Amino acid sequence: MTLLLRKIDALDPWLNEGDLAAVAADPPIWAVREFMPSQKDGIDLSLHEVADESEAHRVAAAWAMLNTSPEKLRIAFAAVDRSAIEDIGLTITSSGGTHNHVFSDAQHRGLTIPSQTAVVAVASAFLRGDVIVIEPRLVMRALEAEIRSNGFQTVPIARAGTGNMAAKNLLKFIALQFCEVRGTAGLAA
Amino acid sequence: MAYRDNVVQLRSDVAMHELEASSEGSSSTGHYTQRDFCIYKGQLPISSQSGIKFVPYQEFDLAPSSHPDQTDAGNFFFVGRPSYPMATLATLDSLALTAEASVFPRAGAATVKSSLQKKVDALEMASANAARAIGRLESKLDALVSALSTAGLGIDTDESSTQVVDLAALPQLTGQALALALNALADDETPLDTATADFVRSLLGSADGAVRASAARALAYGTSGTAVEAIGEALAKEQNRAVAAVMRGALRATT
Repeated sequence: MTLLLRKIDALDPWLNEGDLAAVAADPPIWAVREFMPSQKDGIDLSLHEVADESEAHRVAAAWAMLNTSPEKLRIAFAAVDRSAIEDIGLTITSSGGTHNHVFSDAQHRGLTIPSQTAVVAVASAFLRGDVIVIEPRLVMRALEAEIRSNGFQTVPIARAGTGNMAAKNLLKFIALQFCEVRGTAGLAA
Repeated sequence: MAYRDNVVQLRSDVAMHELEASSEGSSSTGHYTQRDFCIYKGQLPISSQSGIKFVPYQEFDLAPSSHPDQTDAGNFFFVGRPSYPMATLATLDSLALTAEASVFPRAGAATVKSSLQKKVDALEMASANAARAIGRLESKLDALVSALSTAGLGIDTDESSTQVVDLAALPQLTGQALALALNALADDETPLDTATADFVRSLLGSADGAVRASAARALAYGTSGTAVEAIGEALAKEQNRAVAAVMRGALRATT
């Protein structure tokens, strides 16, 4: 039995609902919105498949890598048994992720959402499922572990001066002292 | 030597000890992309073939390596992936600058300087943006303090006072404001004194899920173990699985 995870964008509505299972039969609009594939994703909802919560932490580390301030990042996932989604009759495909993280990308799944009915059914299933919230401290711990074990396929880097996210990430890791900068010996000009 | 004709590539998929000075068409944008830079360890057999030169590391303000493999000044070593990925990246970052300077022979150090200047400019711009954001936040805080004072909520704005906010007044705020305040306490890992901890503990019974969740976080981060039992009891009774997940997460992070 494995879990399908969907990263929650806005946690507050989940917290403010009385009992999530009680509203699952008629999902509130915030839940439907949460499971609606974005324009960019087409009709595939982006999910990750994990065996347990510890693997969810590894996926969280991959998400944190994309963030400029991972030390402040609390990551929440809606989680549901894969079988609950399969029972709906929707197609789950193994689609490579784009996190540049070996594990996270391997566990990336695309859930085809062909219709409005399907969105509601998926929202219902997740509302009946579970929620995993990972505190910033644990996100950082997971991120550090993944960096140290070379979990990232390629670590973002960019030409100096571009000021883009990748360069910021590099500086961020150094600043966080995850790794020691030892410099280099170069060829003489 | 045209820039696009001689782009240095470091790739994870090339053999070890191999560095290519690519021909035209490869990396045709002329940018060093993420995939171009990865892990490399070994001697660079490049300078004689390509004309690309590498300036000494001293020019890049990086500390000389103490790694035993890096003692030979004639070799260019990257520390291998298993141990020091960040060191490798720092190395590659400097290499990018170096290579860029080299393929623009006439620009040379000026190109490097220009790249660094752009970086400094970007940082200065970010700093100015941050200052403006802080200014906006301060204005909002002033407005909030003013509104709360008007409402008689006992906000003490005297900075010399140790009591800035009367926590007993907090229940009169909306659940959202209360949750924000509690989350701020938790995020800063602010230690809670006994009276405040008692008050926050009482919020574990709030009807508002966000308040219950944030109260558990504030307690978990702000007390030394004494609140664990209270959070555990609240967790056992919690109906909302998202709130329970926050409580569990806070306990897991702090115990």
